[in-house]
Amino acid sequence: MRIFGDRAFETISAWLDGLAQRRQAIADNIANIDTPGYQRKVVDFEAALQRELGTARQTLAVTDPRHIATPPSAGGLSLQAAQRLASSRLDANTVDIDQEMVLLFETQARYQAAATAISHKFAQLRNVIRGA
Amino acid sequence: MEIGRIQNALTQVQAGTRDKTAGSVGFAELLGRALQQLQAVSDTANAKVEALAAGQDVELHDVMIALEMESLAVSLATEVRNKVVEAYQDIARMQI
Amino acid sequence: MGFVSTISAITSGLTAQRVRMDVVSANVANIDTTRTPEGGPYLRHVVRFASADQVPFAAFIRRFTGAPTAGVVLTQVGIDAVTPTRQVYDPAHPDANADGYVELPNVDLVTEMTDLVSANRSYQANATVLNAIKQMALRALDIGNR
Repeated sequence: MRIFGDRAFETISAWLDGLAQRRQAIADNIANIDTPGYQRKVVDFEAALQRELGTARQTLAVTDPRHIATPPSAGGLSLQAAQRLASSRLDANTVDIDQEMVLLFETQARYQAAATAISHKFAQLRNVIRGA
Repeated sequence: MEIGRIQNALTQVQAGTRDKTAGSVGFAELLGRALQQLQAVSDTANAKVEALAAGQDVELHDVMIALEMESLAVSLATEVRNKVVEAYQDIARMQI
Repeated sequence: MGFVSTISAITSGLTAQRVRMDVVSANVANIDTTRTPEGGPYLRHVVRFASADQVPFAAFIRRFTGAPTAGVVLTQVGIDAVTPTRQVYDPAHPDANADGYVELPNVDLVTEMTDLVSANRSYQANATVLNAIKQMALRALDIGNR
């Protein structure tokens, strides 16, 4: 994938793979929403991806103390820990349908963003090659 | 296929440039490298498409990315071939 | 992990909820059935779910077919032998016993309706996930489109 010397293709490809795994976990969770004793599956690839890229928590340099380095991160759209109700289910199933639905929407949006991003990279490369 | 035609151009250029100036040997190398990369990318793309066709558990985005990579690699190799042939013809014309 | 296993997981989820709704229908339809071919009143049917991770047989299948079965829901329909049947005093009934009591199925309408609502909600959730999977697949196919 390094053929064109641009790391973006590798990165976005890994990003898409991670999101696809999360989609699989959500599918398993919702399919098993009524299975007694089922434990919710979680996929957390962002931390590993950040480590691979070496871009964990980069802040911009500032030349003036009044400047802001980077705005506080929105931290994703998924429910914060405090919002999640403790499981009230009698059948020991740890899946929270609302949490799962929010995560599904977020995953879908990110997947489409990633696909669009890589399509743009391809279009740029195509222009560079053809225009040469 | 694409690779065949491009390889013909490569052999022509290699045969021609051996008698001509030493500087143009670089072009053949360039084209050779582009072809090697193209072969690798093409093999990957074929493998992914075969896996998908066989009903195996491969991600759609993986297949589409591999196919697009192959398409761009072919474009690149074609452009390089054109430039190489053009440059060779320019050099050939200079030998009077 | 890929397209195929995701679709199969959701499909099993949809099937599971559909079976659950069918069982509720059967229970409600037979709420007054006092005579069955096996003798005795109709007994309430229940659905038992198990995730493929919980069932060791699934790993066995996986080894032979190579098909992914992780997270797939396996559904079993069984008889509820725990809930007691209803005893109603009706000596005129053709199936009344010597004391004039008729044994009616252990089906409770409220329980069945609650189950139906829950199954419907779960079915909707699965359908939503399936739609999202479809959207993502269509978007993936558009990668690199001129």
